[in-house]
Amino acid sequence: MAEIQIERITKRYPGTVALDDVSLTVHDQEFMVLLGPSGCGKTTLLRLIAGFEQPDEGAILIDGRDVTDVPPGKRGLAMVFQSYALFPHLRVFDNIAFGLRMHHVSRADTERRVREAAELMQIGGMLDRYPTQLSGGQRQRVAVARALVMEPAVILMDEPLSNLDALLRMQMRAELKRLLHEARTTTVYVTHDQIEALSMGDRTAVMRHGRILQVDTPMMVYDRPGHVFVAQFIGTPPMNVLRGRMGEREVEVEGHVLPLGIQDGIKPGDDVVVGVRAENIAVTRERDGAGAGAVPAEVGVVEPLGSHLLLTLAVGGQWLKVATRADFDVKPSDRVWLRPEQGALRLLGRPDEG
Amino acid sequence: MTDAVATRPAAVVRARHVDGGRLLLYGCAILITLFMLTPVYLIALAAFSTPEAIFDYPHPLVPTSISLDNIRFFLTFQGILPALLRSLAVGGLTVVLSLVLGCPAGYALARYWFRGKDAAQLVLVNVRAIPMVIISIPLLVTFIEWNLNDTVVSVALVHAAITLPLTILISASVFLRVPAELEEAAMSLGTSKVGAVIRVVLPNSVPGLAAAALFAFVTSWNEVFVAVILTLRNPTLPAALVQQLSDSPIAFRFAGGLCLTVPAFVFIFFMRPYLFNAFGVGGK
Amino acid sequence: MAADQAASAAAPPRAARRPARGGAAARLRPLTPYLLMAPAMLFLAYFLFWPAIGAFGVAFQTAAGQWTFANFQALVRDTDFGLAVRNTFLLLAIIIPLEFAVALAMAVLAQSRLRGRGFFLYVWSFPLAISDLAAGLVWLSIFTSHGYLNSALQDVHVIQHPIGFLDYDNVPGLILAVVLAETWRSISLVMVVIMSGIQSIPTELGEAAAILGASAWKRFTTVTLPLLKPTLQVGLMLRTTTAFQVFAVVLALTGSGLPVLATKTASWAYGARNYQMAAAYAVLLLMLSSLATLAYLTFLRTPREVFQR
Repeated sequence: MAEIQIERITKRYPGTVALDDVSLTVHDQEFMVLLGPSGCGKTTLLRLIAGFEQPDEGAILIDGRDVTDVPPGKRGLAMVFQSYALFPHLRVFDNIAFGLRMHHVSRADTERRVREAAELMQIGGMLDRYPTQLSGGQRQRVAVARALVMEPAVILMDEPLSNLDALLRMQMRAELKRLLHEARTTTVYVTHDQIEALSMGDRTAVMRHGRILQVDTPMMVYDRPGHVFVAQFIGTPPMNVLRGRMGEREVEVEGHVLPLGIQDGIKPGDDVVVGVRAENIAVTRERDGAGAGAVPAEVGVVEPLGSHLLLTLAVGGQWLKVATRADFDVKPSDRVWLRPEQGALRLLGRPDEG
Repeated sequence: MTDAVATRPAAVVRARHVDGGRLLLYGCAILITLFMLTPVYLIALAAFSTPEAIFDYPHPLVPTSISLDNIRFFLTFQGILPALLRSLAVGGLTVVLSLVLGCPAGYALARYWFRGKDAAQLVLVNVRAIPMVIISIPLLVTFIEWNLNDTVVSVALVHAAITLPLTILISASVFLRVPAELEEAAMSLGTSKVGAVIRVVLPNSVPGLAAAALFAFVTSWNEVFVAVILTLRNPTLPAALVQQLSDSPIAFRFAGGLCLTVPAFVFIFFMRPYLFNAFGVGGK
Repeated sequence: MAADQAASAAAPPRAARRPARGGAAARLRPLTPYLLMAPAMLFLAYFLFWPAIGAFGVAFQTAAGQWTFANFQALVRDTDFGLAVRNTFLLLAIIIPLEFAVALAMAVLAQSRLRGRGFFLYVWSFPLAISDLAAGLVWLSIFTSHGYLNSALQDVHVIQHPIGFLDYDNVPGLILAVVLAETWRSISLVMVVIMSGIQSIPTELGEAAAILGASAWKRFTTVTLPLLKPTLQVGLMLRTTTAFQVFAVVLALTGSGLPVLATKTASWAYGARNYQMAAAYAVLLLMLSSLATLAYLTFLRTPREVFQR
């Protein structure tokens, strides 16, 4: 069992708190993505799990064992770095074999395992080359091979795809997901790319300013964000965020009333923020076609995106974006009618929860 | 399903414990520091002790009496003060020559690409491989022919040549840090190219060029071999010391050693940011 | 449309269309970098390269100007020639490995996260600005027969009478003193060179090695040292060349008790005014340094593939 438990970790640097009382459990064989903007603490957390830094408070347990004081090489981890960190003075074969040799694996076994890992990553023919002679994508495969050959219980990945071009990135995403699933390795994966997070992870931990805001499966994070920041960080375009006032079973936004269930901690009369995704709002030109409860809006910007139109609209004093079919006939300053799909409106909390 | 932050017992506060490995590292660092500092301390001790205490044996390692007599004796000894002044003159002249010749070349390296640039840089980095020993003899002969032998000028010329490569490399890196766009902005506002350099580049380069000047000065101040060869009756301070070496009383030598050493501390303090650059290697 | 085409057809080819600004100045413009570099390079050529070549001339000629090997024949028959060569090589053989080993340790220490790094670095850089003469005098106060070393040894009763470290015939003592003084003086330079080399090694390589199970020592030998090879090569070439020229330290500590090649050169030029002999010694020195440099270039080469981009 390679479950990772992060217990109340705090890490401070002069003038800043990188991680503030962070706790997280990564289940055995789970693919956990740490997602957030730069500076949120995701890389710091990864490095703490790896053992390159020590927390000021808290503990890290792997497999039930407290590894907080254990040096990096003895935690049973493998890591893929953002820059790949291949040893430039060693050939690809020796790069991959490095960890095995450090653990005194026999020569025959080393040879066999290196070749297997290379075949798995489709770089079997490059074992004699030096890293500088490889392309970026090939170097990335070597980095992954070097980690996988160790047959680790846990693998850590620090934005491994960020240096690849878009096409390669898409290919590697799928390949990595498959490989890691087959290897049954617990994975902790850091990225700032929410598409990667949603497509690859079993669960995603969204982080900001040294705290974890929400840990959930991709669909839940996308559909039911628990925090304004999460709502706006996930999804393209970001979830629309509107200010309104809570009623008994509805919310009033810019004078229009929309049905919405109340939640713990909110009383009727409170100021709240609500969210709704651009693709979950229907838009029509006539009021009748919109149905009851439609909200009038004025078109600000029309962006044709090929497969659909992205409209920026004003409702009273607030703006939101709506995605609609590509042949919808509309231009700026037109008046249209909006209706959120049933159940698509989310209560995100109070306005002051930054 | 979200992970609730369970109410766990208070977080373990980790003490920053010092393990054996770090202790060993600190120990080594301290040993090395002692090795570096002790000789300096000792010569200061020797230079500042009373003339009689010099012959005390065994020497106390802690000062029992301080006296400026040795220093005074050294500085007033015949020929020393003139030698000191000559060293200053040579140093000053070296700095001027080095900067006047070196800055344009540094500017060329910083701003232009031209054929032979790589070769020129290679030459500049490797020039210091030419032994001083080998150039001093022919130069001596040349200076004799020119009637410049045994003068401040002759020593300064050679010192300028010795320090020139480094001045060029340092000034090149200094000018590189001033963006070319600043010059272009100045020129678009009406100055000439030369005016732009004087009004924009030079004011922004003062700290780096000051470092180069300091480096050239100290190199000249410390230089021994060429000074010895090229001077006879008008020695620089190191050359004068060498001349007196075998005949002088030991207190004299200690005082001289101290006087030669003191500028080093000041120098290093100001040169720290440029140290890596100064020795022709890349890095921070 | 047609009018545009006609207009562009009538326009002169692009190169000729822009008039050159300012005649002579424009013609000189591509020469600017050369003009800027010329004074410095000419100065160097005259005061460094030419004399270096000239030294060969002086060494291979008699005082009268005839080409001859006589100076070199006299050289090998010179009284202290064998001693000078032996001493120079002996000093080299001891100082260089010692300095590089300690400087490596210092560079690694300076890179690690010890508190007081800045202070250590400042103190360890002092000797950069100390002249070799001053270094010799500083260590003189330690090694002289009534100096601090003997005082300390006698204070703790290790010895009864002062040891004559610097006695004329105490070659091991003289060597010891010169080695310590030279090392103390120039180790900072080696440290700075090695440090810049270490800094160009990405820290992630060490972290990758650590997570793959390498101990601190293993990381040093399998990652740091191999990647330092080019830096060490440069450092060794530099330091060996200057070590061959060791002069003032020897003079200050030993007088004429430990002849080396540089002191022989100086005494022939300064004392005996025999410039031919002095030049012969200088040429020998240069030859030996060049051989050493060549050796380093050959044996410390890194395969091109490792560093090409």
